Amino acid sequence: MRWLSVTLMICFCFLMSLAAPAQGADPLAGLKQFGDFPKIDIKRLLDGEIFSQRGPLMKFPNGISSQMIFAVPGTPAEVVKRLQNWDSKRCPSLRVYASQALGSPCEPKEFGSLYQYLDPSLRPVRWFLDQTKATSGKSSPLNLTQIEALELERCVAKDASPKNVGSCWSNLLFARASAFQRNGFSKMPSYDFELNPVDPALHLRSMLLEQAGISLEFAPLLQRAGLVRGSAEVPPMVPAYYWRLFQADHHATLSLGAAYDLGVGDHFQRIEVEYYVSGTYYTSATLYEIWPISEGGRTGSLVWCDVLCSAPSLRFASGIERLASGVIMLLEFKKMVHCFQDSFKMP
Amino acid sequence: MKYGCYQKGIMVSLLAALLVLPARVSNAESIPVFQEFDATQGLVGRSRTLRDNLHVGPVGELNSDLKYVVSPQISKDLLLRVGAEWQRFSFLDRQHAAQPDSLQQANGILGLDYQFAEQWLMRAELQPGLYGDLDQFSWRSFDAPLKLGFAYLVDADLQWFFGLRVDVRSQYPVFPAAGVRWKFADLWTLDMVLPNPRLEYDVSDKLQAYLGAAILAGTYRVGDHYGDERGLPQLNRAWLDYAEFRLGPGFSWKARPNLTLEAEAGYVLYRSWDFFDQHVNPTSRPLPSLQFALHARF
Repeated sequence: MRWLSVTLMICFCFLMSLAAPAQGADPLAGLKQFGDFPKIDIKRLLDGEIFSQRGPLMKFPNGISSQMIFAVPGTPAEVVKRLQNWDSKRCPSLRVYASQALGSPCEPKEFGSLYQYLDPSLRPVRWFLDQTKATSGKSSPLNLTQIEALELERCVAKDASPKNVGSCWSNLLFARASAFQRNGFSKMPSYDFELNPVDPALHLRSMLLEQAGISLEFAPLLQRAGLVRGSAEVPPMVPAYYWRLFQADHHATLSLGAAYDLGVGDHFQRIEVEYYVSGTYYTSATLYEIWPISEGGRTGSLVWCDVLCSAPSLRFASGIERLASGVIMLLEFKKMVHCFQDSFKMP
Repeated sequence: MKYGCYQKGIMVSLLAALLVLPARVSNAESIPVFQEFDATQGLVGRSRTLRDNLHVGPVGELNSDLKYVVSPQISKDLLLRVGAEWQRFSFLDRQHAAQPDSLQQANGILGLDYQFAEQWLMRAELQPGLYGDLDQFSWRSFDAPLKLGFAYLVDADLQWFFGLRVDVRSQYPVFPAAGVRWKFADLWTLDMVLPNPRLEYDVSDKLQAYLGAAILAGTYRVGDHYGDERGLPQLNRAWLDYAEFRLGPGFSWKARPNLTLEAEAGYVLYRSWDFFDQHVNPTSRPLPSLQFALHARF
């Protein structure tokens, strides 16, 4: 696995050194260079339509991707601010139980409310509690290191009530979040209970590597986020951190994430990474590029996004199952986009 | 019912293809390539005393199916499907003179999976091959049924399916079907898609229990002297539609990430050997059945 990691790094660093995004460029011309949308009708976008494209099937066996374009009112700066502060819990179709921003450095008390959302009467939450109780130092259906699994086993053995399970998970998430804030993507703990240990950062890099045009477009942001090594000469960026409890494929799932924003001339780039996910899938990243647009006296922002997801179920899915997974991920993400567009109608 | 050299030849060829193809496929690293291997073995019990001079045994029917498909990505929206399948029904409980002792098919698979709209996927699969009792090798047994399937994906929990089977040899040259897969609760899925509609319950992430039905069907040609041997000369060289309808509970166990094992027990409610041109259509009474299946993905 190490040679693969090194090879990916070298290729990635080479790609990153080649180009930077155009500043103040025509959004449509820029988009055509790296996006999957040869024709873009600004008028239809401003009317509320969402254009989407499933990405090609990846050689990386766990990965899928999808792209989308949509428009929202407001300037790119306002859109970025709304993306930072938007409360996804308000949208029931997204099935988000809890979402909380974290400070830097984060503190244990910021995870203290987690147990309140572990309601065992909800079947997806009960699944999560059962999987936690089934975890031991030797095996776990969840994404954990062996040490984490052992600590979780000991912690839950004392008291298996949802309140204590929430407390055990709070400790685990705090440790993961603190480690990420110190080390970034360079020393992320692996998921040890898969056939081969899974490094979420390696999965993210593998998926980005298959999207050379997009990686080039986002090179400065990816470098400053630390997703690309060899970025010592680039000042690191402090992202917005968060933890989230939500439903994924009928399973309650915990995630830790970081969102990085970068102004590039008149537009913005953003990458939102789930660097830890408790189960169902391994990791995800969403890249956004947001431009100002105007058409027929109407103004707003054009939002392009690329969703990347790595999941164990994709590894051995048949071809048509992976096509379907890409379509379904796109449809699920569209729900989020609809909710986000609707949020502009509210004060 | 013994397997002749020809049948052994089919088995050996198919297994050789299975061994050779993965190595060749893995060399083609420039494009994503997917492989599917499915094996099924079914046993159907004997339900009643048979008439004199007919075979008597503990098992009424054996059915076996081996299928291998390799699926490279041709373009972003298009996957090719190339493979082979061998299926055999051995009927050990002949209850009617017209009932064959065995039916077999050895066919290639040539098809594609295609996304033709944002929420629509389709599969087209041509299965050219030999369909008959295959006691004698004959190109007259050649057939090439076409299967067309369309899926409309509403979201992660709801998908609609529409299908069409086209077989000019069959009594029903065009056979349409529709179905739905609906995960209507966290643990329950109604998977009403032919030929294996099921009501599924997730016991755990790896184990699923289901109540399912299965339709096994095909169109076959019998030999040149098939009718002479049975005192029914009108059946020489005749084509028949075979159909079998099963119902019963089963389990599906994800033994490894790429390997699923299934076992089910139930009843074959209906079997029919319909020599439709000759208006001869023996059927059988309900029989208990067992079925085991293995599905591997690479």
